[in-house]
Amino acid sequence: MGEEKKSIFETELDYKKGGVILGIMLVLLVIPALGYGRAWAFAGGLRWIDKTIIGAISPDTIAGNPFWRILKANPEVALMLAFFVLGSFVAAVLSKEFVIGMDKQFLLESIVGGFLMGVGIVLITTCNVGCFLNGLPQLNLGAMIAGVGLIIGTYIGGKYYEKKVMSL
Amino acid sequence: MVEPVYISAAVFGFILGFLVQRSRFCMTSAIRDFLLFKVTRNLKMALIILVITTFFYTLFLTFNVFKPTPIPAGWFSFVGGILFGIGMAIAGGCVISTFSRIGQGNINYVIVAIFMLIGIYVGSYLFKLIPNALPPKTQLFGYKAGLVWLHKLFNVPPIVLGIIFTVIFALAYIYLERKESL
Repeated sequence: MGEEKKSIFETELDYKKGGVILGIMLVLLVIPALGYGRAWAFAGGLRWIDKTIIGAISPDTIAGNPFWRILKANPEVALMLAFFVLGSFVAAVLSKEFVIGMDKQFLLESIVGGFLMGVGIVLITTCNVGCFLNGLPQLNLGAMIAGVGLIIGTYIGGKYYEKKVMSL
Repeated sequence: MVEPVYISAAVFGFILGFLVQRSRFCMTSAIRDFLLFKVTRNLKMALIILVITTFFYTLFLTFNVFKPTPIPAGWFSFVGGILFGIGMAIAGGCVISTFSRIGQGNINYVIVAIFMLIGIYVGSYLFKLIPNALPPKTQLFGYKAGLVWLHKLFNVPPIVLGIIFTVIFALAYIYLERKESL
């Protein structure tokens, strides 16, 4: 019996093609004539989601904290984030990789990890994408300093993750 | 009528989500897999992206095609980077792969995203607790809020440093490829 032929959507994009296509997409993203006109980051969208939810529950909380005035909350970035999830969903369905599931053994790590990423986003004022694929190629010093911290943090967190995986 | 920026955000978002899922791109794995296991697949992918974006972004900045992203520089960048790095490593994915895996149906990453939003909310109180130490009240090299770009610091056109950085990223990529082919 021969191996079943995979469709184009089931074949993984290799790192060279993937890197080149993603790189070109990120260049197109910043060209104002194409409508978006800024580099990739999700922090502004996450801030918008937070601000919208908290603002609906407790408007005074937003008004009384300078953070929400100083840093932009962008609805268009939140929309991009939603369509990013949709794009991943469609790709996962087409490649037959869509599976609803949860690993309970990593529940605490998901909670703590997500929380630390959130606090980190406040301090860096952007996310890791904004740091490495946006600020760094624009020669931004803040992105470079944060990038060094990100590498150190990933090493520390990675060591913990490795121990956890080995202990299971 | 819907503004073009929203249409563009939706189209680019969808394509990027699709590409990230099919290429398995993840910044956490790019750094973690290299540092801990010497696996370089995602690091090489990140370097390819950086070669392309660094050259074109600095070229575009030289001709004022788009506005640079304001990311402040200071102690908070470093501390924030460490916290974010620990977080993404123990959560098992960066912001990109968190949202990509939500699209794949992974509930753990829905929890990561919810707590990321809670982390932003709790972290926002730092701006009330230590307002003078955080942007926009900080200064670095005389730049307000620490908004420093290397080309401004060295007073050269962005593309000049851009070419140097592009070459560095390209050499790093070639080094990894050659090392692995031996």
